[in-house]
Amino acid sequence: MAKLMRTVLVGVAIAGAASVMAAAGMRTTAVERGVESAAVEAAAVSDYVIDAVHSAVIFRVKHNEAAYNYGRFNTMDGVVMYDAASGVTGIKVNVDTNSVDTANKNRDDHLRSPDFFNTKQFPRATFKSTSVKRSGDSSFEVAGEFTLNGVTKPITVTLEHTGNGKTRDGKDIAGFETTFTIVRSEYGMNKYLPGVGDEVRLMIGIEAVKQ
Amino acid sequence: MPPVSELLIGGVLPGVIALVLLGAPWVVFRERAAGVLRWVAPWAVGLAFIPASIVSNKHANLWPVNASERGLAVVLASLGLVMLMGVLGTGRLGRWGMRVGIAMPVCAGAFGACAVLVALHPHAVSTGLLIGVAAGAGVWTASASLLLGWSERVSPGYGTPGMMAIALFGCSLVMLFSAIGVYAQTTGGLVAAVSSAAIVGLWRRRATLGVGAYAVALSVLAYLMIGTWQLSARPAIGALVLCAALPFVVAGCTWIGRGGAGRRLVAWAGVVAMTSGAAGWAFALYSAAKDASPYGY
Repeated sequence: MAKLMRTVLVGVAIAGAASVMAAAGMRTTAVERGVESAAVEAAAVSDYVIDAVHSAVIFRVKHNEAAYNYGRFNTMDGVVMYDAASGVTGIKVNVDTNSVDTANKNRDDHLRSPDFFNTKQFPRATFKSTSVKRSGDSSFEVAGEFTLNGVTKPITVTLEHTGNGKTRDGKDIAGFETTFTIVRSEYGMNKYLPGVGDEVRLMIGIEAVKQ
Repeated sequence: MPPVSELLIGGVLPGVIALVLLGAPWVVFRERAAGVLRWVAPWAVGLAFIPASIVSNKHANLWPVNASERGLAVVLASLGLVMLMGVLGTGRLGRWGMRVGIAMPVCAGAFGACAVLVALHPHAVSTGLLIGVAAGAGVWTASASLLLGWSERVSPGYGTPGMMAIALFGCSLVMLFSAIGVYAQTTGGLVAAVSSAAIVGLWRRRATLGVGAYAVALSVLAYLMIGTWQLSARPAIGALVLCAALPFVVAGCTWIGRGGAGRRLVAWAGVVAMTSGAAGWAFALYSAAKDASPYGY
């Protein structure tokens, strides 16, 4: 019975992720999801699906050239290709830009408008790895494509593996964290400069569950 | 508040361009200027809009990936249609020529609507809505610009463009309070161009802006208003409907205001009241979502 439930749940998860990708015009298979690295060996690495409830995408941007203001995105999904021996071999993260939350409704509405995230046209920001190499015991240099407001640019981030654990029902989980900075005007988000700073620091914490 | 440089390029420069292009024919051609302006006025409005669009979007791409930044394409297509239909309409086509003249603003408006909607489809807009809104925008642009042209013939001079400048300023505020600052700023280019037409109208009482020029301005306005309706997280739908009604109100008030000073006062008061109503409605919605800080967000 448990095996059947697990099969159904995995099936639903794969079908859900596939349908989301299909909607975004990215028709990939479950195996291909977010993983372009040549180092991926299907037999060795596992799909860790991001648990959005225990993950966070936080950003900071300077306001009026004075103080840093912080915000977050409340909805995300994605997958990390990982196992203890090989480490991280690929990652894909999708962020729902409509879920932007800076604790002020007027500001959030404005951030969703064409002045900033333009969420009706560009409902998702994505990062998709193209290559991964180990740079330390628990750190990885992840090169990939970051897409924001319909503009895709190559970036490289340092991904830290922060730990392993288990869920309440015994599933393996792994934690990751990265911090990197983008220049928003390079992605066509060029309104209200310099009052709203050009450099945006993103801090991403991920908890992912082995499938 | 945009930086001074953006205000100069997006607001003052469009006004100067329109003033020169609308005023020069009255110096060069004198009595024949009205005939020349029929061709020049759409370009005066269209060219005046270009720096406003460039400074608002911070690029001059005609067809950027972001559909909400395609104002330049809309205005150039509208100018092309105005010219094409104008040329066809001046041929010996009798009644057909008049029909072509009506088709011109319909096409201009429909294009303005499609430009923003096609890229949104299927993310935000269904095919049915796309067709319906494009057709509606075409009919709106056509009927409003034809009525404004008619009202100018009844009462030439500064009246119609002056009232339209107030109405467009109100539309700009509605977009601002609907949380789309870039559209509010872009509309400023149209306000400047139409204000220049009013200044020329003060100087030369026979001056008219003409159906073609209004069609260009209204096709851009249609594009911006549909964009606000579709893309804003806080669209002030009621206020946008009032904005859509404003060109008709201006045409009606021009008719009411012909003649004595008292009637003129009533007409201008009507336009100001309607414009204030639209802007006030949008502001009320904005204010309902209170900011925690007295310094705004």
